[in-house]
Amino acid sequence: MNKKILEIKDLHVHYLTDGYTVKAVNGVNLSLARGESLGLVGETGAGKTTTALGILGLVPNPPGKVIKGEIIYNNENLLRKSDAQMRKIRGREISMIFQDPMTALNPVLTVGAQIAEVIRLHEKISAGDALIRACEMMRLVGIDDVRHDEYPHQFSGGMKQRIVIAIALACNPSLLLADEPTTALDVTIQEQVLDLIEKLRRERGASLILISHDLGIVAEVCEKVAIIYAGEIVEYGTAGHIFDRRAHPYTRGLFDSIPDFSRKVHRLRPIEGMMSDPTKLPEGCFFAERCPYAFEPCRKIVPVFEPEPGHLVKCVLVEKGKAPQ
Amino acid sequence: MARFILKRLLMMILVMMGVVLLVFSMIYFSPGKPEDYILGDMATPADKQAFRVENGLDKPFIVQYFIYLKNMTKGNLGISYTTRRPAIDEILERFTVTFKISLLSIAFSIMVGIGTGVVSAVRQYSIWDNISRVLAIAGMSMPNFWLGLMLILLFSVVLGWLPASGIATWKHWILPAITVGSASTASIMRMTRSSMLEAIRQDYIRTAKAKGQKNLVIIFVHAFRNAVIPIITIIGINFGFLLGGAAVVETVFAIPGLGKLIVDGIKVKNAPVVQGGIVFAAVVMSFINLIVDVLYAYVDPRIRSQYMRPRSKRRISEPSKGDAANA
Repeated sequence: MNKKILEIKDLHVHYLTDGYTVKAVNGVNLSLARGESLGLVGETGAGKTTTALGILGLVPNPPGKVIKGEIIYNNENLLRKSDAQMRKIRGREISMIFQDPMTALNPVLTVGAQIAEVIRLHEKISAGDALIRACEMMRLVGIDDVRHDEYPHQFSGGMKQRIVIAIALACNPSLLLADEPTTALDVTIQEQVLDLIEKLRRERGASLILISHDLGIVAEVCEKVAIIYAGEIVEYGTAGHIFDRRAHPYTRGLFDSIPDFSRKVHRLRPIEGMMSDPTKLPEGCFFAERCPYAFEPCRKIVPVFEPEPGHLVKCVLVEKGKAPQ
Repeated sequence: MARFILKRLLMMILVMMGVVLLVFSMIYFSPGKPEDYILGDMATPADKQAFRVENGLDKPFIVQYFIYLKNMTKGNLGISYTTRRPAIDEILERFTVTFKISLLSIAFSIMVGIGTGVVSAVRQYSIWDNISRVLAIAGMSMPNFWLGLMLILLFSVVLGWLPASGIATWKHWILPAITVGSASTASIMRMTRSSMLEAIRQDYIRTAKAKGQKNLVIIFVHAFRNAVIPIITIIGINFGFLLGGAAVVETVFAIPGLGKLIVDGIKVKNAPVVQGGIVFAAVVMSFINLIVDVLYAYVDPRIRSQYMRPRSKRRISEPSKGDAANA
């Protein structure tokens, strides 16, 4: 069997609205090995969530549309699958943890029923047995299962996110997509939830794509890191590559905007400017407008360079060996 | 829940006293005397005085009001001036007819309104959505007596499929039910559409999709159950309205309903019938509101938890020790 569980090749997703085309994802290339965890890092609007929804075939359509590309999951292109085939994959093979647990659960159904739902969809099992399994899942995520017949409004935010995790893991998926799973939570709860996801994932041997804008969280959990900017992966590599030998000016900018308590810095250094309007992206490197090192070749199509094995950078500076250190 | 219902029933008594006071004074203080209408031009002053004494109209306003309230508690709404029968009997007789029409109308409205509303929302901006939105606006803006006449023209006169008036067979009920129900169909459809549109954009719908759930189940189990509260409200309001009787449509189709009874009563200041009819309609409306509120609690656990103490916890399987992983 292929070592790679997921490979995304040149994925383009656009949102078509009233004469505008919002280019949300523009040629994303990613690969993920079985059991591996990948952090997908980028700012708001960079196309992180759209990429994840693209994998599940859930890009809202209309207005969203996958323009081209391939999403190879277990040697099969998910983009060629019918909706019925995708329904068998969603929740069972690939499942997703959403950003906002407050709204991700249906307010009129009991949490037990919501966990049992996904189990019944994918396994031939009676309603009673599915509920028993749902209760097991609740215990697994650290919630007393006597609460299975309670409704989402009776739980706190962190508890709700545990329920969402229970739903996502109930059918032992091979690939877990976690879309900013801790962003909506208290800092005190973030750590617990993150540990829970990581622990259960490892126990079950699932691969993980962790979407985040928080490099700290990614550093904690992920072996591989992909930095996404304006719908494009600008740098990809192991956590070591990204955290120690980052090469792309955007990645460097991200790290500069993290407070570093070992150094005395008066103010953080944010990346100047705003991300390019996704309805009119520039030619060449999308980051050139904001890049302090931009020069003429950046206006042309930028190829991907590999300064060391497995470390991919989409920046001309890398080729010339001029990458800022 | 039982306590809530009991409280609401007690409140209803107060509401009824208010309604009676309002209706009673409106009729009492409006110009014209019933004896003039009922007894005709030839009646002598003595006849008129006798009529006033017989019907208790010679007593002061406040005394009449309390006598009426006292009789009401015994189910006595007075004697109709025109037919000399108990008003309550006349009202109940007419109400059965109105109730039948209202039930048919509301059933028609619910089926058509919710059906088209859901389709409209799920296929927003499609041809079906556009057609049903235009029809809904037409349904709400058309005067229903006019719609009734047009339906009679088409189905009775031109096509000859359905009878134009009366209530002899089941066929007689179809046109009035559609006519009376057209406005409520339109408002139920519009409410269903907007409420469903909101629901299907919620995050939990995406969660259900990510589970691999089928679209039909997502629409009817996940979205509709969340969208149903405002729809129930609008159904309740419309049903209450219909039960008050639709005087104009009843006239068009020559149906002996509550609305026609009240309007005919007003013409001759037949106070027992008019007061009784309106109070009766108000009672029915209050009951429907109560049912609507109970239904809210039934469909939405967040509302239910305001009225009910939490159920006793029930464990469905023994937890295996050491499994309670808390990271």
